[in-house]
Amino acid sequence: MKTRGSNHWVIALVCALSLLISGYAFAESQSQSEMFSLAYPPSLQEQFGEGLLLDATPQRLIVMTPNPVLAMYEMGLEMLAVPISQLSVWPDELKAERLPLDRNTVDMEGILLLQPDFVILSTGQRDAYGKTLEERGIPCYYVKSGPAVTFQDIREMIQLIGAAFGKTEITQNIMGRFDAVEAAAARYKAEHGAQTAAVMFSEPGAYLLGSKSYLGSMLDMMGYLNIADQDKPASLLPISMEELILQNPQAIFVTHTSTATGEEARVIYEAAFEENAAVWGKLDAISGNNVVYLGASYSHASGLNVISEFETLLAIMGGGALD
Amino acid sequence: MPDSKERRVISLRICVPILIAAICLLSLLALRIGSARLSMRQILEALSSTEGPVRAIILDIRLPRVILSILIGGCLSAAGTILQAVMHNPLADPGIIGVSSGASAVATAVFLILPTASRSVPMFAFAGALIACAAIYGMAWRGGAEPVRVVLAGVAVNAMLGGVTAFLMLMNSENLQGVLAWMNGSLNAKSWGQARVMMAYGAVGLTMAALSVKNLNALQMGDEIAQSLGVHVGRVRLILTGISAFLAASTVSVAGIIGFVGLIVPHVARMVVGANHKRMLPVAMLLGACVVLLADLVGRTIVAPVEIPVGIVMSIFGGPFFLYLLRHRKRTGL
Repeated sequence: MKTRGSNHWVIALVCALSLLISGYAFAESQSQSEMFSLAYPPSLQEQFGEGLLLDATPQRLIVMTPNPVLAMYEMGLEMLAVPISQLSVWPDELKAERLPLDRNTVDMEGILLLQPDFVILSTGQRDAYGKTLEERGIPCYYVKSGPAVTFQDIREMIQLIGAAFGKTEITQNIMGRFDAVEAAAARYKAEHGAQTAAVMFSEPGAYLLGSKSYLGSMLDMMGYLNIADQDKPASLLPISMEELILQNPQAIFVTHTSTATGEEARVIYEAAFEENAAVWGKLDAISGNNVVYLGASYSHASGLNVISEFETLLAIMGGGALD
Repeated sequence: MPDSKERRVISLRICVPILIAAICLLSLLALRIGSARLSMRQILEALSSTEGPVRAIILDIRLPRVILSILIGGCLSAAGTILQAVMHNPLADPGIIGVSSGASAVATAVFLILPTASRSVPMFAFAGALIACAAIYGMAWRGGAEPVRVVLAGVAVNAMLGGVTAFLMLMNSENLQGVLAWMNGSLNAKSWGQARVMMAYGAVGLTMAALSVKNLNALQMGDEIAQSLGVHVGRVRLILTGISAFLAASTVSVAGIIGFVGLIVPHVARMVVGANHKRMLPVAMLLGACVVLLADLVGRTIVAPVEIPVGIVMSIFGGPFFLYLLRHRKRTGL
């Protein structure tokens, strides 16, 4: 009898322990599911670590760099403030304060007054502003910005943000649009084959964009072999005229940060071509009038707009049929 | 002019031929090497033909660039030499009379506010440089322009114009690439047209500088001695500053801002041939040509095919070299 009694005690103890463990495990899984995890793309992991892990999904979001804004708006994520950017136009329906949040003019007082619990900045803003916010206990996440952001960078960023905020369906929808424009680019590449191209940026003869840039990455997907890519894909280079003449690209694409339209860029470039015809005229693309002038929107990435801009580019190049 | 360092200096008859030979050698080198690696045979073949990319590289890219380097180096050095004598200040360079800040402010405004007029930046920059210089002189004028007042007015106007430039850049931080390319001072993509403009400016400015040697020597000895020699100090100082501003503004309008040439080269020239401007000015011009030729050669070959603007090369190497001169100040007059 004594033995049976002690057995009961052992069974009761095991049951209690099991309940305790399972309860703890349940609570753990419950808290894990509530945790917010936003990973960094592999290209940023060396600098920023694997990602950001927060106890709960943030609710008071501020975005201090243009790239994520449109995608987050489409995902229905409420933002307290978005940056005033000369190169990005936000929809009127976007209910968020417009703050001067760009590279050199970040309104830290305005941001702190809004009491955010999560701020997205560009990688270049970390030292100047991100660290100050982090010291105040405001979690910050960093994304790429500027002309050296590729189509794939934007796609990756949107996918990661969508997954972190649990916006699976809308993210899939957006990825479908990315897939469609990529397929159209692949068709263009198959139809037109490989052509060499130079992507001129800003003032004539100042810089070339490589395939690791915003416009350069689109052209890369369309099959253009970028002459700025020497040993490895380049982003933005002050390349020499000599190299340009020697490489003699079959096509030239132009994007100028200060001109809203391609026509304005054409005025500036054609004046330069005429002024130094002895040099520029040696380029087959110029003498053969194979120069495509694009507006400032192609000079810097502005997030989700990459899809419509890529579609427009394909249409300009005569390969715009989307599925 | 008596020269206390006479025994140390090198004769002009030795110095000038050496510098001319150095310019010729550097020019040939600049024509021979560049980001496009061309063999001597390719170059000779191209020069005997009438068409082709190699010919365009040699004759339409490298040659105008060599000419511009020589002229810009000569003009900036002459401008610095004149200013250091006029201001009695070994730290005087074209920046002190507002040339750089005036040109920068106007060029930045054109690039950022009127981008479609950016091809006219040289003209605007030239005007901006001269207006800033006139403003500084206007502020410093009290029946004459004392060097100290000019320097102080220069500090004030430069600070103000620097603020305007910074404000414009701050408000347009997303499209600064064009401004930065211009501010860094580059000889990339320069045309024969620009070389011809610089030749005209250089011919006028350098001739005026050469004709000013006597007055420069007089001013260098101090205002009282200069007056006793019959020099109208106020008027001469104004004219010489105008010549210096013209020389520097012409280089800024063509190539953007190239620093340190006008500051360092006169010191080296003084170290080599002494403080007499009859010897110093031509040596400074020739030495300036060598320096800019060499800096441009380094800039366009060191990480080819990427180009490092000549202004950046000058800043990187000019700063330490200036410190070297400072450590040997007894010989350089610093």
